[in-house]
Amino acid sequence: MALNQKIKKIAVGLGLVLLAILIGSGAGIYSIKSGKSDSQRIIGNWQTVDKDKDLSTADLLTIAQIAVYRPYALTKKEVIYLSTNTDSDGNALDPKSDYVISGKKLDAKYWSITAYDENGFLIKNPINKYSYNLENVKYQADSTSYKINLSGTEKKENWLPTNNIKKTGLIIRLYLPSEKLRENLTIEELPSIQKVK
Amino acid sequence: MAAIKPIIKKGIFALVLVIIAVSFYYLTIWITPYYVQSKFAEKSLGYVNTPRFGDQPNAENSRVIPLPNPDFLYSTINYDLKDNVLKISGIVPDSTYWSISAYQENTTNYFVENEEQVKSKFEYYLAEEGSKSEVLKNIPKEKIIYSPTTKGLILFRYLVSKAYPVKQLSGLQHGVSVVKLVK
Repeated sequence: MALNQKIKKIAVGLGLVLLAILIGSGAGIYSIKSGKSDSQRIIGNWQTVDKDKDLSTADLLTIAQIAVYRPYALTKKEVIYLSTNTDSDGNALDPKSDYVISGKKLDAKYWSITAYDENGFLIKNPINKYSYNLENVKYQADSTSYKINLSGTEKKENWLPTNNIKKTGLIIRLYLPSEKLRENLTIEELPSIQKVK
Repeated sequence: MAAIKPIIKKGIFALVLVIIAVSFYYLTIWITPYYVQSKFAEKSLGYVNTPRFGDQPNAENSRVIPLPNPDFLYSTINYDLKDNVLKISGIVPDSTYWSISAYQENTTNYFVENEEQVKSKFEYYLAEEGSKSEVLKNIPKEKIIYSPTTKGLILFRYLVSKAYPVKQLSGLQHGVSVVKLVK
């Protein structure tokens, strides 16, 4: 075989190896970015870690996704995290629209609902309000249910602002949830998100 | 036979390429958490084995680690146990959520205790898994946190509440001390 042909063959071989590396790494990054993993559980429009799994024993992909998008999360024994970026009809939350988040007190030592921007950071707003929790949300007459106004325009009460952002995401945190809630975490227990404007 | 040999060679080479691609897929996923932790640790350069006390997160001051909880005061200890065992102590608030949690080098949580489990004061000794350090002798087991990796992060969460407004919690937060004990 001529020397030139040999060099050409080696170059093609090395090129294919490099391509395999790029494809493998690219697929890994794509999987992390997709947000989908085997440890995921979907409850209506809310996502959480599967009932029988936990962050400490999750698969490699889940660990990587949490490290990138939700670093330093706690295990389910301590906290249940639920996230969404859609309303209850499954449509992406539009920061320019108005939504009402309707729910009831959750059976946990501490719970909160927080709004984040497209990068997972708190949203700059005129009232410096980023979340509502069991203590500071204004309840309805029954002292159990609440309505939070997720909106870019000012609301009279329970206003969770979404000013000047491209995308909105919500996180519910349930710290030290009761065993009953842990076992029966269904869509009926979780707040609904309805678009009103 | 001579005609089949190049086909077998190409087949083996294709298989090697698939193995390389799959290996790099898992390598990327495996290494990403370590990369994330090293990037966050870079922000704490010069503060290894030293507590850092954060203000209540808001839209201006919390732009590094995603999904901060605006109801919490956070404190961190970016640790390296290569040469030290760390003695970490402080005061626990009695009627608001508090926790101490430990994360290994791939950011996975391996230890957490809260104010329902620890009353009034806490004292922990943070050591590498398998450490036979003399300083750990006579220390009750429940006070020792064994880290699966040499480096990692300790994170304190203090819930701002009606019972514990920021000012009061901040006093407790800044009361945490870290003593480096030589192995």
